[in-house]
Amino acid sequence: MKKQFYLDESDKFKNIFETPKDYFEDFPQRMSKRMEKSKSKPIGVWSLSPKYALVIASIVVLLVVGGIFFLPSTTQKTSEIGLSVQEINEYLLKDNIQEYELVDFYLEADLIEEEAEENVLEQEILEEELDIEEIEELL
Amino acid sequence: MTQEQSQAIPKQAIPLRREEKEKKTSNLIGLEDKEIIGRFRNEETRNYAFNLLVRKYQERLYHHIRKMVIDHDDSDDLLQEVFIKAWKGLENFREESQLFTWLYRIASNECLTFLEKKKRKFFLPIYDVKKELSAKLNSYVANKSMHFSGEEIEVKLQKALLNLPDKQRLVFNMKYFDDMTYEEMSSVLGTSVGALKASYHHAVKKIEEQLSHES
Repeated sequence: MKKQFYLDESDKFKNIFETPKDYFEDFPQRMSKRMEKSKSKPIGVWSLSPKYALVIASIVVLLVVGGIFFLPSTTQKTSEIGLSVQEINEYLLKDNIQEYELVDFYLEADLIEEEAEENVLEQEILEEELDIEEIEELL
Repeated sequence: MTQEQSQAIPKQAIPLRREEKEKKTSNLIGLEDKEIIGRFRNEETRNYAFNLLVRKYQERLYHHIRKMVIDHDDSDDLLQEVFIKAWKGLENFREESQLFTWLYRIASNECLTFLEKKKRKFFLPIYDVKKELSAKLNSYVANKSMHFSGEEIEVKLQKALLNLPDKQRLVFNMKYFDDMTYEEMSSVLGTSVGALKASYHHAVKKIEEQLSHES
């Protein structure tokens, strides 16, 4: 059975924390030295309170990170599909695509583009050469 | 003082002079707060008055802080911060409140801010900071530190206190260990006397329950 414990106000427990020897004899002197030091400290950016220093540091970091990510890069070349050359190279290496396959792919792509361009041209020529009335008559 | 002069002083005279000095200092420490504040407001005696203030209150404030943060080095840092804030604010100190309750208020706020920062710094819940403080107590006991003296039950009491919310711990310490009146505590913490009485009563109940459970 547990024993009920009561805090006896008339017979209190003592404070158990102690200090190093001569702590209170030396403290006023240490305090005076610290006060002197803080008085002679020059006022500068580094004397800002940690709170303000942190805010300023955060703004600087955000500006730097923003600059890196959002401004157009002048050093890194990107393809028309928005991928960098390095990214494309990595992709090709990973997927083990051979050079001839690439050549075929681009040739095919070019041919499709050329055909598309030709179609557009033919359409334009047709529109220029033929009068709408003529077309209507033909139809 | 030259070596010859030093030799000329009788051996008993040195401890006597030290005693006299200590007596003089303790008399000055006994100065009324009003007198200390008066001297502080005078540019010429400011440093001297502040030194007296430090000597007068350092011990009480140190133990008040130490009971809250447990670690000696942390207590030392916080005590210095308290006196720096006192130096900055003493000139505008309104004598409506007692100097010692004003200093206690600064010290209490420093402790609460310190503990709060500790929690936020390590992104830990309250439990872990208490665990850390409890571990510090254990290390004092295990290493038989000279910064600590206590019997088993007293260590248990300190550990039980760590389970109280920080502000309730302050209330308990001020009432139980520092023998402060509820009115003084109200001036320090800005809480009503009734609320403080209730808080202390609950703290005592919680501690008694925990210590009964452990015994």
